[in-house]
Amino acid sequence: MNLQTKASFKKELLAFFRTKAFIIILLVFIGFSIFDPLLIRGLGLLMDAMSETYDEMGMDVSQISEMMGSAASMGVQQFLGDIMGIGLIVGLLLMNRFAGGEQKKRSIIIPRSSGLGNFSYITPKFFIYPLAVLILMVIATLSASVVSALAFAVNDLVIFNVVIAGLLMGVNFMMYVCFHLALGTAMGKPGLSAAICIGASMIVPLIFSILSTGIENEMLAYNPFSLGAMSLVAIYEPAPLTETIITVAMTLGIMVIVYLLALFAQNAKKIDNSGNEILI
Amino acid sequence: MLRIKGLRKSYKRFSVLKGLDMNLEKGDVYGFLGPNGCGKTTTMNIICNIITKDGGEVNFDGKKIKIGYLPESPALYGYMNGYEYLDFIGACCEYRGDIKARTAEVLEITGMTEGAKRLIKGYSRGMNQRVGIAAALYGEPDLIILDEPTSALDPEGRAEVMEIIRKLAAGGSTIVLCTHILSDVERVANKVGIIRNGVMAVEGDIWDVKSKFDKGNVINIKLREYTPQAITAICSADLVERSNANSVDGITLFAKDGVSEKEFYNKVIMNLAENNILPEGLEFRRLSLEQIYIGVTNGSLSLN
Repeated sequence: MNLQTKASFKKELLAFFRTKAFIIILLVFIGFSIFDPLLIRGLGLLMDAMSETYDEMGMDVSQISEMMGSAASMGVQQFLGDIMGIGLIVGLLLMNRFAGGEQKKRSIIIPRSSGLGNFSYITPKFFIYPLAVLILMVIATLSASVVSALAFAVNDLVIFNVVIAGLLMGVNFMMYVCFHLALGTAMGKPGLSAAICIGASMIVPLIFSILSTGIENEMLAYNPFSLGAMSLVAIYEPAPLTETIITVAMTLGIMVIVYLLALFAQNAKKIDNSGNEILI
Repeated sequence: MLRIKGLRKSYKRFSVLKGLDMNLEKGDVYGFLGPNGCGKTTTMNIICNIITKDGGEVNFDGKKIKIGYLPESPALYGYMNGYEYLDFIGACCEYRGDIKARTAEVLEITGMTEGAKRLIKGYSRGMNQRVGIAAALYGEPDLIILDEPTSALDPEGRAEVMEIIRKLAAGGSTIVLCTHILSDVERVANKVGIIRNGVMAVEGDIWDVKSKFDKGNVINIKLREYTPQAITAICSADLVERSNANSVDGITLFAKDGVSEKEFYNKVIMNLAENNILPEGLEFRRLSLEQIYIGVTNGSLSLN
């Protein structure tokens, strides 16, 4: 690895840790991992406490309260569901600084005019931030499982399933982070890039889900946008290993393509004004 | 070193550069002047390959040269301290020598050896500017471009930055100084270019430019006491076309057309000596750079 790339890795690590992006993402993830299981458990207990009142009103809520209050897997699933929605939005917005924020604030001008190359600029971003999100997601999922195991009456969690669920959700996040980094650095508009990625995270899985209904299509089944849903199910029973591996491999493949596109976009933007032009 | 011919650039429908020419030699300290929004920063950004040009030629005499660029209001990485930032810039430059030593050196040049230990987000504007200059100098560039290096600085900050630029100029660096602070240019530059309406209205050695706009020789004399005899004696000297005299501005003598500077000066001095008049002050009155700049940019002055 050349000096420029090494220095760029160091720069991104300093940016991640010193700008408190790391701490905020960690707090958000850990916050959800603690809050969500306790919320579900609390709601279940509340419904139990009020079951007599509901009976008098002629409503049978015993099944609902049973679902909410019974097993630890519910707590982890609630966490994964929330992190897939709100957590992704928060995570992508916190990444704005790294996904085109330098172009927007013009802090990239001096390094670029000093000679910072496209490879050295882009590559560390595509290593550090997706990897950080993956690691934090696994940690947060394990945290949710610990909280759920303590809070719920029945601990039906299998540690292997928890880790798989965390990894799948982490890879899902990695993909969106890569999209955000690529779009943001290409456009120099991190806010717009985040909005597009957040929109895509809501719409695209839905489209795939609709398309795959009732259709035997392996490509649709293994689509990377199903990772979130796979993660939610994995708490109870992970998908078959082949399916999991193929889906993750396709997702990683898409991330590599997105990285190469990001590099291509930077190369396409390269300017050399000193070529002589014949004046008419 | 740098030849620009017919440079053109537009932003949507607004044409900023309409055929700018510019010439810079090695060792020049070039004051690039113009009002706000005239295209100075656009020109510098084109030279540094930050934005594309629409037309024209930017030529470095066929050589590949290193440029050190200080943009206007440089944005640095606030989460780093000065040392870390410059070490990073050193890596970007692919500096072949000892990066740590070079970082210490450029910080020494810019007077930021102690200040650079703090995180950049806590810097004043002057400190920011100095680290920016250090970054521009880092790779030992052939050409240093400083875009508004003293804007938004307090007088102390300006003086510090100008002192750095003066030392660089004295050391033989080739510098383009984009500014609208004329006193800064007069202090350090040997060459000046004034942009107006997207083209270079005036360019050349500062003294040449001043003398081109001067309408003949003018000498101003200050006396301790303005007696009628003294005023008459001074104003009736040979080669004097006309004169003004008052106790505030002194006595201003306008030479006849065609009289050289040296001839006029000698005549005035001889006249003072013959009449036994000892002046308090005597100087050639020239149009200041500020007067030339204002005249050129508002169209009241031209070389045609």
